[in-house]
This record gives sequence, structure tokens and C-alpha cells, in this order.
Amino acid sequence: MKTFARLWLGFFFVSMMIAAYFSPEIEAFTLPRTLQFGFDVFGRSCILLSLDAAFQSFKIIVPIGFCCLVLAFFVSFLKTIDRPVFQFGWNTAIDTFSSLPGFLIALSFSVFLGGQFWTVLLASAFLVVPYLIRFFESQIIQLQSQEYVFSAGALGATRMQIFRRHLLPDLARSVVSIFPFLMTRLLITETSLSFLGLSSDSAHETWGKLLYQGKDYLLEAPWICFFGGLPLFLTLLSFHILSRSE
Amino acid sequence: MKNAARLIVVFALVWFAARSAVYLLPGNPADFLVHESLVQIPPEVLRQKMQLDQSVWHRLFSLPRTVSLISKQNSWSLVGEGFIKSLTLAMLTLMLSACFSVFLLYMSFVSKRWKKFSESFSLTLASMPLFVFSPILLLVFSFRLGWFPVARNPVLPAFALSFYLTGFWFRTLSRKMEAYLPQSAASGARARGLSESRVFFGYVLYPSLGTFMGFLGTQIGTLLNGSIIVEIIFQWRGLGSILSDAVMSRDYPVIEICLILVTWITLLSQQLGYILQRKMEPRLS
Repeated sequence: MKTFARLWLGFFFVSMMIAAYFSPEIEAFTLPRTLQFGFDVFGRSCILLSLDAAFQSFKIIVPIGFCCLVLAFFVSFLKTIDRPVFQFGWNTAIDTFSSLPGFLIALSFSVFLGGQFWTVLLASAFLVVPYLIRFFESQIIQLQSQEYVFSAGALGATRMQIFRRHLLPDLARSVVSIFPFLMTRLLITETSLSFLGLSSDSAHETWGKLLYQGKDYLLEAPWICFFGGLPLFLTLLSFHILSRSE
Repeated sequence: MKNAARLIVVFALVWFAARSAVYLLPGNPADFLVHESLVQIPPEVLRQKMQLDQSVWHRLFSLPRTVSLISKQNSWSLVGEGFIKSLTLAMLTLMLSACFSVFLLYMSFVSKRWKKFSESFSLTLASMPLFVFSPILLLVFSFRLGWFPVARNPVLPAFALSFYLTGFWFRTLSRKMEAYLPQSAASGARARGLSESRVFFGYVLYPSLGTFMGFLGTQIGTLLNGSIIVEIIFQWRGLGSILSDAVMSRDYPVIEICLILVTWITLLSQQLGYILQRKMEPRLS
């Protein structure tokens, strides 16, 4: 299972890099007849389109994932402030955020905020950041009980110094273990929003857009949905397998 | 008491966020709305309809009493109708997901081979996004087999949503069950020769029901998130579908009310889950 996940992700990323290199002129490409697995409604090769869509999806989720991580780091730092009233407020805020239907809220605010990037960021912030914060919180609690952190406090280091020198490096290392989960969540959020026509305003297709296009031609041209859906499914499955094995 | 106070504060914050969101629009909100609106409404009328002729404070503290800009229906009744449909879908989905999850948990409890199967199955379900899985269901069960009508039927959307949720729920619940098993009386009951089903339902599931209820309470938000995609694909006119249409047609009054209602429902269900959890597990309180 794990080998399959790694192989698929490896193959997928190499193909995506090739697609990224040729991205501006990908629509002008023509494949040999034996490699053409069908066309979309605009006569573009589905297989090339799917590769380009993967690249476009990742182009959106990588900066958003970075923003979410920075936000989660910042909020996790606030957890180190050891005051009961503050802790109560902190826990209330995180509990509330994690239970809200972030997707619907982001959808509502997309009308007021305008830009498409902000919609995905807001939806991701609701759906991903509370989980990241809870994860970092558990890590911080574990780390704070370590002797070297106690010693640093006893030697007069401030809260910020302890966080920057001792907690942050270990937290940054733990990002590796949560990375597959983060990618899964972001990928689902982005593709769902682009399926609704709210993710990317560029002319390029993303997986969600490809599926949205194929939905109307499900009986006449099922391969449009197939080439949008299958790579997405395999990628999510691979990330899930890796996140379980971590 | 503390929880009630907390809930009221969060309710108020949501209300103010939804009522003040219109001021996030660039420039003068009323002028922007006139340009953005799909229907030709005179600026003065739109200002009045959106309560933008009042001061900001007055608007924040007053009830939204507007009609939809597109359908001319009362926004509250429009959203109310959607809410009833969404509730039907949500209840059906909750029931199905809970049944599927408990079934998979039971299978993984009784045999190691089934445990592996359940884990792989749930992994596959969780990896299949709703907008991939729902068209497949629609294609097979509505178009090819003709078992369910394409629209006006909540059964197929509920199945699609519950399969997706089962993928996640099973993994979370099995983790909770594994954590609970060492402290449960299951091994003792097994040693006394009780059947596997009696051990599972009587000594594992029943005592940990409180934890499960608390978890289900927090899942209403996820359910509403997922329902939007399913409602669009299966043309089920629930809250998600109404909100999506309102977003596409820039129907601001409906968006405001949807936002408030959806958030309040989620928060209430979460609290209900916690209350049930505390009732079932008195040691928590």
C-alpha cells in the first residue's frame, strides 16, 4: 500500500513538473492518435488537460498551505501564554472555529471579499487551521514537559525565546508528519470550490473545473469526468495511506 | 451556565459578522450593490431593502427584514424551506452514516481480517470526493438502473454523503474505540463466554456512546459542508443549494440569513452533542 502511494505520487509529481514546464502551450499540443484518450468540449486532449489541471491545483494549494501553517504556528504560540482567562478564550475560539461549516461560510464571504484566492484561503483556514492548531497544541504540551525547556525557563529565557529556540524547530519537524493530511484537506477544499466555480479565475482548468465541465456530459463523454476524477482519487488515496502510516 | 454564556457570545459575534459583511464591499456598499445586482432596482429602493439607509449601528442591531432580490420571496421563508429539506437530508445521512460506521466497527471488532478490510474500505471512501462519487451514483442508479428519480428524492444524495462521511467517521471512531478497549469490560465479558455481538454492543458500544454522541454533534458542520455539493449534483433544493444560487446571483439578503442560520444550527448541534455526552458520561461533568 505504502509503496503504491509513493510510486503514484512520484509518477504524478514528475508528470506534473513536465506539465508545468509546458503549461503555457499545453493546449496547442497534439498527442499521437494511440495516446489520445478523449477530448473535452473544446476539443482539448483530456490527458494533457488533466496533467495541467493537477499543476494548476497545486499552484493554488501550496501557497495556501504555507499561509495556514504560518497562521497555525502563530496561534499555537498564543497557547504558551499560561493565563486561565486567556486559555478559556483560546479554547472557545478554536472549538467554535473547528465546528463551523467553513466551506459554506467561505462561500458566503466570497461575495463580499471578491478575490478567488481569498475564498480558498478562508475555506482552508476554517477547515485546516483548527486541526493544525490542535496538532501543534499537543506537540507543545509534550515539548513543554521536556527538561531542556524547563531549564531554558529557569535560566531566564522569555516565552518568545523559548518558543523560537526550542519549540519552533521541533514543531517545524513535526510538519513532515502532518503534511499528507494537510495536502488532502487542501486538495479537497480547492477542488470542491473550483467545482462550484469559485476557486481559480485563471483561464487554466483545475481538477474541480474539469469535473464540473464533465458533469454536464456524463452520458455522452464520461472520459472528461474520468480524467478529472481518477488522478484526484489516486492522489488523495496516496496521501491518506501516507498520513495513516506516519 | 458557562457554556450558555459562551454560546450567546459566539451567537452575537456571528450575527454582527453576518450583518456587517456588506461593508466589506469596496466603496459605497449601496452603489456597489446597484452595479452588481442582476435585476434592475433603483438605488434608493435597494438601499431601503438592504437597510443601508440606516446607520451602521442601527443595521447591526436590527432584524434582517428583506425580500430576496432575485425571487422576490421573503428571505426567511425561502431559507426556511431550504432548511427543512436540508434537515431531512442531514437526518437521513446521520442515520445511514452511523449505521455504516457501527457495522464497520463491529466487523473490525470481531475479526482481524475484517478489520483490515474495513480500514481499506474506509480509506477508499474517504479518498473519493463527493463530486467524483456522486455523479457515479447518479449515472448508475438513476440513469442506468432507474431505481431513483434524478431530483426530488433525498435517498441517493443521503447515500452519497453517508458513504463519504463513513470513510472519515470509521477512522475516528475506531481510534476512539481502540483507546477505550483496554479500560472496558469487554475482555471479561468475552472470558465469560458471551457472544461477540453482545460483547460489542453491550460492553464496547453502549458505554462509549457518550463519546460518539459528542463526536456526532461536532460533525453537523461537516455534514452541511458536504451537503452543498450533493444538493447541487442531485438538484435537492436545500440550504446549500439556495446559498450557492444566492452567491452566484449576488442575492445579498439571502446570503446574510443563510450565513446566520447555518452557523447557529451548527453551534447549537455541537452544544447538544456535548450535553448528551455529559448526560451519558457523568464522569466528564
